Amino acid sequence: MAEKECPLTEAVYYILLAVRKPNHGYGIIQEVEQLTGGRVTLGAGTLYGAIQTLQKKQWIDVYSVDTESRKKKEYIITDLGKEVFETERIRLEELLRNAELMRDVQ
Amino acid sequence: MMKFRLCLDKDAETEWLNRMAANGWAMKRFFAGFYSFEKCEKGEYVYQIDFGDRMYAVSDGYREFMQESEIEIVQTWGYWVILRKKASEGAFELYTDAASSLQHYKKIRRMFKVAAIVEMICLFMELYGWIVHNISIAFFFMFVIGAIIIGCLNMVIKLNEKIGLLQEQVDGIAYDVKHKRISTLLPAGLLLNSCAFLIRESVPLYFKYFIQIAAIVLMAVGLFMTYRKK
Repeated sequence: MAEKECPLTEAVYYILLAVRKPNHGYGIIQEVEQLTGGRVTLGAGTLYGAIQTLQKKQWIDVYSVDTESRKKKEYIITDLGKEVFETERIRLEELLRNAELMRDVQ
Repeated sequence: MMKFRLCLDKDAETEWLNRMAANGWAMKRFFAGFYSFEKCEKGEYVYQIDFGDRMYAVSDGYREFMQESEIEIVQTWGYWVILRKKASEGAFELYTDAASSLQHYKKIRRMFKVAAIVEMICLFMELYGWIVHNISIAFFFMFVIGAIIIGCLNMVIKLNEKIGLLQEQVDGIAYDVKHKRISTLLPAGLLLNSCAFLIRESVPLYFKYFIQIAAIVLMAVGLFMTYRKK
């Protein structure tokens, strides 16, 4: 089942990575920016839409909703999410392994 | 300050709001084409327009999410959500990749398609009123509705192009842009013609003729511009 979902979009890939530990919306944007050296910046609409979709697919879950202390809503990856991410990682490894063929051309 | 503007193209509207903000005018409210502006520091805000899932409202989750991102919901109108963020809080863009932009513009295109179909049904109802019950005001509405339908169809054409180019980024299948548009003179002529039907007998007849001739000229030029080979 996880194979069908791949390849992931870059946004989804990095969002899953950013919620490997509990993280909130703005935290996800910051971490992704940091990880990619500013190459990938997630717009609010892109991130909101992705979070809705990932929750529906049950790849991520709400970690804590602490309404009293007005704490920001945090998200965490689920086991299903981890499984999809792992499938994607294997696919990406294959891509990189095959990229070696290009080196032999020279 | 109040400004009146009819705009169907969300990207053009966003650009305009940001130009106003850059000149020190922050949009505060919108009602049926009327935008009210307040004075602000030049370039204090960045505006963006989103397309929501429900009319005249946003979900609690959406509101919370935007709040946490320091984004203010200025106005909801139909499915449109006008947002702004202080420029000092960092860059403000809504859709930053092809996949999510694609989804966004597809939702907007669907709305314009549905609107065009609903307006066409209205057009037939007015036609019925005019033919069967001889309601003369129906003629006025027929031209207004005609203008709205053309506006919606023009947006569908524009969005088809935008979606085609985004799709090309996603799947790599080349999209060929045709640059076809329905000339805005055509709906303008239809609207002017509709006005001619509102004129009462008390007004000199030549005035009515003048408006109708001007409307026909506008429509003719509009048709010519639409079908002209580029």
